[in-house]
Amino acid sequence: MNIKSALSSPGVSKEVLIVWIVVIAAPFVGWLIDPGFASLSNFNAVVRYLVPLFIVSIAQAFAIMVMSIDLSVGAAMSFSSAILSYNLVGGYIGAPINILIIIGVGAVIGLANGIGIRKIGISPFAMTFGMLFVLEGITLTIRPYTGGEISEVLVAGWNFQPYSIPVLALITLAGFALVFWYFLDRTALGLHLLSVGENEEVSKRAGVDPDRMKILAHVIAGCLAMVAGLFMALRIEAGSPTLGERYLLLSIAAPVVGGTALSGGKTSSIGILGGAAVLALVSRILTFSPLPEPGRWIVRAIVIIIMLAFAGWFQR
Amino acid sequence: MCKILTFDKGIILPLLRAENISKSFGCVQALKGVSFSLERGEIRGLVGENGAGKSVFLKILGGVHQPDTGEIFWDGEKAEIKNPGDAQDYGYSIVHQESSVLPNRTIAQNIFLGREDMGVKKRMGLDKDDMRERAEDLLEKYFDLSLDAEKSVKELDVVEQKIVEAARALNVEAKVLVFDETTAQLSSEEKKRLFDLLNNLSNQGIGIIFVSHILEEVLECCDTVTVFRNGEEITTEKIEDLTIRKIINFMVGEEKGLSFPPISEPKEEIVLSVENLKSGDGLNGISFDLRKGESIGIMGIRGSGQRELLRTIFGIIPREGGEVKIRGERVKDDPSDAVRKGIVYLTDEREGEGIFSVRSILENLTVESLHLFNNMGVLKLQELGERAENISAEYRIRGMSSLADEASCLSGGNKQKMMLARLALSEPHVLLLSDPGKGVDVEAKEELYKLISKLMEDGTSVLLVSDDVEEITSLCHKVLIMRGGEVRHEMPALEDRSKEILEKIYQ
Repeated sequence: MNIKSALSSPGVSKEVLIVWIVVIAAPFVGWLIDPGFASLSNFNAVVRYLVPLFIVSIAQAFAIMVMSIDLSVGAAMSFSSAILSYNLVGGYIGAPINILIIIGVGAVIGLANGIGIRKIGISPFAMTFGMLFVLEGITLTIRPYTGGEISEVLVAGWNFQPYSIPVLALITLAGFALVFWYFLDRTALGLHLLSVGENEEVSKRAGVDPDRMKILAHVIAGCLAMVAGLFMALRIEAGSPTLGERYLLLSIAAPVVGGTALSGGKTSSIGILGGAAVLALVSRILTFSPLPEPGRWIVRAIVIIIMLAFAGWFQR
Repeated sequence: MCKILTFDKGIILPLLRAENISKSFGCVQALKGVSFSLERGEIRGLVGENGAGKSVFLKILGGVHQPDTGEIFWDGEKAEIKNPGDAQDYGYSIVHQESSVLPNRTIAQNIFLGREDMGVKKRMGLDKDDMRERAEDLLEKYFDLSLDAEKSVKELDVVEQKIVEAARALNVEAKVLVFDETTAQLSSEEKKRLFDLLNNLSNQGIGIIFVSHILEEVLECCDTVTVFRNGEEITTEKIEDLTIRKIINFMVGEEKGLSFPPISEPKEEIVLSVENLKSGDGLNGISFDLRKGESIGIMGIRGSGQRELLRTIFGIIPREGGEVKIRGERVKDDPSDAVRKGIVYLTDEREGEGIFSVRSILENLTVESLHLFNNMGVLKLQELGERAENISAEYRIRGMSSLADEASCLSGGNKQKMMLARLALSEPHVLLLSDPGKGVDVEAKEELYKLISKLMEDGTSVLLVSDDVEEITSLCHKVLIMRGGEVRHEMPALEDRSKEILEKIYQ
């Protein structure tokens, strides 16, 4: 497991290199707009924002790499934060139990998506779009307004930041990046998911079951979206019925900007991390600009569209 | 029992043997008592016209279809083959015509796809180095090829990609490898390399079934040849005893005895001229003229660009050069312009891109000629209905209670007549017909031929793509023979020269 082999693995391409060049260059742009951008506390804010964004992007990448899509990931994040805001089991033992509960719920959501798409034959777009509203409805019922309390143990861990270094956030980022890379590159399951996404017929002939792989991809996407919701809830220390929505477009944009093919079969951990980092930096730079909030939204959406256009151009 | 007998006589058992295999689909008998046997290290050519039963036979060997009668033996023992997995376990593998590799994955990943459990799985995850080493050994052993197995497959050339496919099969201990039209996209140099590889494999005891339409290739690389015709195994001969002419005689046999209408002589006036037409789909500059009332047949082995030629003239496939003119006027690269200028196209994908199955027969008949019944944006329904009634009677479309029935209720032959009637209604100058006899019964075929010859008599010009040499020699004035996206030969389409035409096609 050395850097050379990681870089030479399929999926690390010129798109990935370019996105990382942008990641390195973006802070300078921020610094030019406001010298305050180059501060440890700002770094801290970017990293903490990046964690849920990166995880939900991996969730989306699981759907995309098998040539599907999951439009319910944002709603799942809100749903997750709403469940966590009830802190169902308190104390030290409660923290892992709460996490297991949301992962279990995520698996059920993903299974429903996967079965609807592969066994019943609903289009991924329609199925997960419908799921979005189902989840939103449930979330608004149990948590109509932002509020509630997240497990104090998890919040304390998240807020452990000696010298303003977000320890847990950095460990989480590195951990997810490594595990996802290993999964794609070194496990039969990862290869099978990519193979099915690239060419179902060829995979079937080689003895890989496309139905099972695609359903599994949706289950993993559901679980990861709920985990992303956990980190979103930790940032605001509450449950929110709507905040997750904002992550939907980003969850598709980050993988694509990082070289993931919307036609399936091609993605990489380092690319998605780069894509998510670019989006996080752009958002952060905009908060330093004098634009009012709605103006930032417009600029951010335009920047995303332009980046997607570039990504599409490169993939051709 | 059988085993002891043969061993006593000192005869080596054939590697794969099929006996008396028959198979019907509905009322069509695709295979009639076929027997076949293959030795270790033998390279067997399998030839026959389209529809002769080759692919059904291969699918039965491969467990995709079950035979109605007959048995299959591997190494002299009766084999129970219920599905493709069983066939693979006995050692049967196919290298497909279309690529069956994953370009974005590495060579090693492709070779081990679906077989990652073959000793390369460590406690957690895959042992990349072991996979790589074993993939490289495999390529070295069977193909004498040293490649870095960590390379993406998309970086390989076509032959190397085929090798990766074959290596995947050999990795699961294939004993018989089928190369199904594998040479279709290869240049002559690449073919040489592939043939060397086949020899290499045969030297190691692998039995090879080589399916190709190009008889020259078959003569070049095979030891023996089996010819199929109309679902029967006609003969199996040693390569030394064969020539292209002999194989064609086996393939074609007696004439089928369909009755064809007489065709009228073409006029002088040139209607359609195609000038140096090129497309990204493999047309390399095609030129010819079509006169009024003339019919030109276009033949070639599958994938030579015949179908693409029609689709490019019509504008479905974008042109990359050249012009199509109708009476000197340029036709744009766009089907709607072609239709406006009187060029219409009968597709060979009737169900997929021909008919609107859930719309009425009336709508199907008139969709291409609505502009003729247009009165300031409002359709003259009365007139339209009458014309449709007339033409459906003239074209003898049967099996419906009225024109309001859904088109899906018609039989294949009647659907085809409906399609031709649709084209005729728009009063075209040029008919592009792709395989008009495909999936049509004999009676309807004869009717179709009469209708086509009637249209020609009325001055419509025809371009006809078909694999049926009888159809071409009977309906056409001349024939263009294509290969690799070019017209290689042009000859008069006379019945007594059909053998010569076939020779040119399969050469």
